[in-house]
Amino acid sequence: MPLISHSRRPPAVLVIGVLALLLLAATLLSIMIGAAGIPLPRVFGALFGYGDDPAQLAGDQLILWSARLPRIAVAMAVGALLALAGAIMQGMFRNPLADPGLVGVSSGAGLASATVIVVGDRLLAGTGLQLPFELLPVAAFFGALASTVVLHRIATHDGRTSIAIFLLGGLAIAALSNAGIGLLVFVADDQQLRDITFWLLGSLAGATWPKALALLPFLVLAVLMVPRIARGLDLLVLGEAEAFHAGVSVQRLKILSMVLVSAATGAAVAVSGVIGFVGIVVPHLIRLAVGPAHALLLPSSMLLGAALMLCADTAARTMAAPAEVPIGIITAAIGAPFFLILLLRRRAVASL
Amino acid sequence: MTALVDVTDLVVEVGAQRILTDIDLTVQAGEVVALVGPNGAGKSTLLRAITGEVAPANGRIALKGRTLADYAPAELSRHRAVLSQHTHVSFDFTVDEIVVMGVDRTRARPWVREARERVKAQCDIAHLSDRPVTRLSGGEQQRVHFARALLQLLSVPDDSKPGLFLLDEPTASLDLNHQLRMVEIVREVAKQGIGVLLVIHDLNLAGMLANRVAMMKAGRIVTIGAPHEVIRDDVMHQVFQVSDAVGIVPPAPLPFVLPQSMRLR
Repeated sequence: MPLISHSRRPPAVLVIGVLALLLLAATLLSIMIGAAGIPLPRVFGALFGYGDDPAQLAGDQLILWSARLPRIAVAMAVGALLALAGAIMQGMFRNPLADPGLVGVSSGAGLASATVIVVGDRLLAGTGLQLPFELLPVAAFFGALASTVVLHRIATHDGRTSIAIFLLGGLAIAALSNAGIGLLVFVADDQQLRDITFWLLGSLAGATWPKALALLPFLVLAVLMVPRIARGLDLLVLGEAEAFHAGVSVQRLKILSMVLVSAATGAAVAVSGVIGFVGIVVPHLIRLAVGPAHALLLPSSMLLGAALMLCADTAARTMAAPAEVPIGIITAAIGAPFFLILLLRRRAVASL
Repeated sequence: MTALVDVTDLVVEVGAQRILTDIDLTVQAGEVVALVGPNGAGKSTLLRAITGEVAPANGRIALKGRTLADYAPAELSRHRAVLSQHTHVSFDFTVDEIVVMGVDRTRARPWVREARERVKAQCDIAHLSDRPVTRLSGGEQQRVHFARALLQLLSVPDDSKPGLFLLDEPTASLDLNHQLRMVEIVREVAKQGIGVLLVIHDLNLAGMLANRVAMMKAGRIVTIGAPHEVIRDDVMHQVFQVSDAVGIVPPAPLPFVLPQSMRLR
């Protein structure tokens, strides 16, 4: 009998422990590596405020607290939120190929953000007021929610989701959103153009403590909601009718999931732009290792998403130092082939 | 005594089309009722209406004396379990994971583990425990989902008992051995006081396991009663347009297989 047909699941404590260690290692690595390298002993020195050379200590502390740490915090939060959004979306649509970036949810968030940048800027022109940063995550959330709801309307009929219609519908939503963004780019001035381009490529370069702090409520929301939807998402894997038979309020579960996916994607897009494929790669790897049960899949995906995003961002800022490679390019370069492999393996099993 | 399920004057419409007309049906606790009839007669729709999936256009469905629509999904799941005709699982859950999915959440882990093993043995899927359900044969998958629905029913707290078991063609993709095993299990479940309503195509199996058989045609119940009262030549002719069907053994060289009991290992 082939090995693969049997699966013993590792215990949850072990899984979370290993992933937490992985995240810690990625964090230390990310602190040490950069335009100015800081060896490990000096990292601890700077973190806890001791060192032989006061000048060097002050320099290390400045780099750490004002540049690296806020960026690390944002990278971890964005990675965790995107991976979570992907995992929930896949459960909700019963489709391992779902990803907020791929099916237009991120584009919807991007379009809403770009609209706020351009239109808001126009409206405030002459008043001397600055557009509040906090408005962008809110706009991105509603953009993401609108895309998710439309996608759900398109792809789900009589409680069944067609994978082909889901992917093609997502493609259409993404194309439409991108057309809108294109239009905004066309009418934007230079400063607005720079801001919009940032969304399209995806980057963590603008990470600051306030941005990291703005993501915190979304992470808290996610951690609080995960236990409430895990059992329902497991049962939804059997089908909407079957989940209802087992006591799930399917409508409520779907609304909750859509709001959570949109909030997580919107928040991530608002601070880092459109970063694709994290939501598809991470949950897939976790499912291979620990199985598809959502109670473990969702928190594990958040941890691995955080660790992978941190590694990708470290690569983004060191590969071509002192210049930065947009992180969206790195995640797409890794994620797109991964997606293709998934697609081809599925083709072998069943037609779309 | 209030019936477990009481359906009165039920009308179900899908779009503009009337699927069920003036259905009256009861299922008592401990009783097995089989819905039989040609394709498109409305058997599955009637079952789905009683699960709560399909809302009636007219009439009333009462579960333990209360209108079905008054139950919240979570509460409903403590009073009835359902086996659908086809269940497609989209991720690699193992048999063990699937079987316990519907278990009442108040049950402690040791209870769940013990009950899971018992139900798995009963349904002959104990040897599949760690296998992903997506890689099993159709019949094996059906047994897994049957075990899951059965465990959901067995795990409900005592104050919600007896439960109702709704089965849509539970024997459809099973081999001869497992069909008979299914008959045994359904009978045993009924003996514990659970009411069973099932859709079934095989009239021999229907006769073997049901206390009452309801023959449906074109959205109505044509006749209902004990198996020998319903499965008769005149009814067969009226509903299926076949003649000389009941109790005739085919002439010599044609094999004729109808096992009526099995010797369990």
